[in-house]
Amino acid sequence: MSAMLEARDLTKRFGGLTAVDHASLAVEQGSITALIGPNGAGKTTFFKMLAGEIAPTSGEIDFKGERINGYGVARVSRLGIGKSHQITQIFPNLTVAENVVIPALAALRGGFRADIFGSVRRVGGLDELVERTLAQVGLLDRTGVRAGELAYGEKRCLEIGLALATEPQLLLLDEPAAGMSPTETAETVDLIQRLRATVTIVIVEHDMDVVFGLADNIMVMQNGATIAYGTPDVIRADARVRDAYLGGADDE
Amino acid sequence: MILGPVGDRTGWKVEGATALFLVLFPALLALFGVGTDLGTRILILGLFGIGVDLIFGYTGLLSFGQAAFYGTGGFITANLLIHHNVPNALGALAIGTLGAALAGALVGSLALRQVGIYFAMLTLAFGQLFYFLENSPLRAYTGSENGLPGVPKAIFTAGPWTLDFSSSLGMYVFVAMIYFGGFFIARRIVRSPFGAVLRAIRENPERALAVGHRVPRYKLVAFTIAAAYGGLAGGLLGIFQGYMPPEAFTIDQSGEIIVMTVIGGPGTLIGPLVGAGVWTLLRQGLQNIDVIAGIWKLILGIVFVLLITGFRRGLVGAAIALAGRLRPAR
Repeated sequence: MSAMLEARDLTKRFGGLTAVDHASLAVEQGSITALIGPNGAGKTTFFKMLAGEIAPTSGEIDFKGERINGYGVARVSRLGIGKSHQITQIFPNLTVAENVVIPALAALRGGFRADIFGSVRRVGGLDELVERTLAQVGLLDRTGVRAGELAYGEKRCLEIGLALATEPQLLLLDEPAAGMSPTETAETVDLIQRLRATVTIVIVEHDMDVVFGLADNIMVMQNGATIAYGTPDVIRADARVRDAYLGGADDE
Repeated sequence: MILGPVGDRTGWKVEGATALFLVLFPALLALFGVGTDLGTRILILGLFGIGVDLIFGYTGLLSFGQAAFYGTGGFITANLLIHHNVPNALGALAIGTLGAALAGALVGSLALRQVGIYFAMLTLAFGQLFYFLENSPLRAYTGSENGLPGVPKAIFTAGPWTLDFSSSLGMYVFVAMIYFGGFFIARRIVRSPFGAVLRAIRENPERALAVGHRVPRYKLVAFTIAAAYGGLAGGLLGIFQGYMPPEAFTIDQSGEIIVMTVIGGPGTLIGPLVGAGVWTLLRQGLQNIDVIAGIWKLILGIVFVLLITGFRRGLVGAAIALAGRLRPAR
């Protein structure tokens, strides 16, 4: 079976700095892949290239058999790759429900439509998609609240909700549990477990309990390059990984 | 229904209140000894400001060149009427509005390549470019610094019937009906899915793009609509005054309409009308008080500074916030 997402020899240079150096990743449909590595390993840059936020200097990205290099983030999103960001990127002065409406509109009515006399209520399936998403991320009782007034953990949940409401087939989660309390982290892990039934997931995460609890496969990056790839058991046993990362003081 | 809280739930109340206000406005002005013409002038600026509010208050785009479209619409409409190229004022206004929209699409497609302060600077530059075009190469059509006198009044004839809006009150009614139409359409726009995306762009353009919206297209359409509003208002100005002034193209005009929108309350649609009212009436009132006639501009400036620092969301924004606080908690 061919992979849902295949990134080959992705390289990104910023001037003289090579942030990502010939990194490759294949993601099977229905799997959870974790991306780990010390700070500055290039995980976030690699992720940004998968989402179309930045273009690779060289290398190729195929999604469902389509070459998506240079598509740009909006087109990649509409194709089915959703991303939640490490730093919360919400619409602060809109309500929680309105926040989720925005990606849902892109999913249901496309990248652009000049429906200036249309009604939000008459967009087919919008109500269901928004309600389902808010239920998934546990914000159903906060729909009318201004998003900027949410507690930090709630904002993180909304951040994931914004990605989910684009109805992605592949969900990229960049440190979803960053800054969350242990309870919130556990809830997020539960959420990801539930999501795996419907969506393929790639996750960047520093919390090793989260990573080893969730992932089918783990890719370890260091200095922009892939140094190991395999199941959690394989990674745990890998001497290079232990040297580079797990054994170090960086284990948060 | 989860979408209950999406948009506002005012129903038709805002439209109804606006219509009622438009009916009562001349009488209200008369109570304070102010003539109907000033009311007409306020409505024209309020209509111009609806477009500014759509791009500034709703989409987060600050343009310093809106006078370009006010002037373009105004001079196209005035020319068509003076030379009797179209049978009546409505036809001329429609073509003037379309011309301004085209100018908006052209300027927008160039200026919107930049964001933030660079976008603002480009709109400023385009505004000045239009002013120059009005003053020199196109002087045959604009009368340059003299403007265009002799714009016919709005009189409609069909067979034996004549509808004459040439009196002061008649002109007010004509402008008020068009203002209401423009307001009604703008309310529909901001409550549409399109309008929801505009607000998302104002709040966080990067994320709006990241979730799949073609943000540049939304901006361009919003900018074009705003230009159309400017053009329609400019056309009305020429008909109302019987004269199309070259000042419509000036940077002062671009700046004033922004100040009016900010004072009145951006993101409310009715805010620009309130701001235009405060601006126009204060200006008129202060000039008529003998003791301060010499320094009225200074006082006006101080009042505006106080209004803008005191009401960060404008007068209408403050009123909405106050009403929200007074409403018993549910």
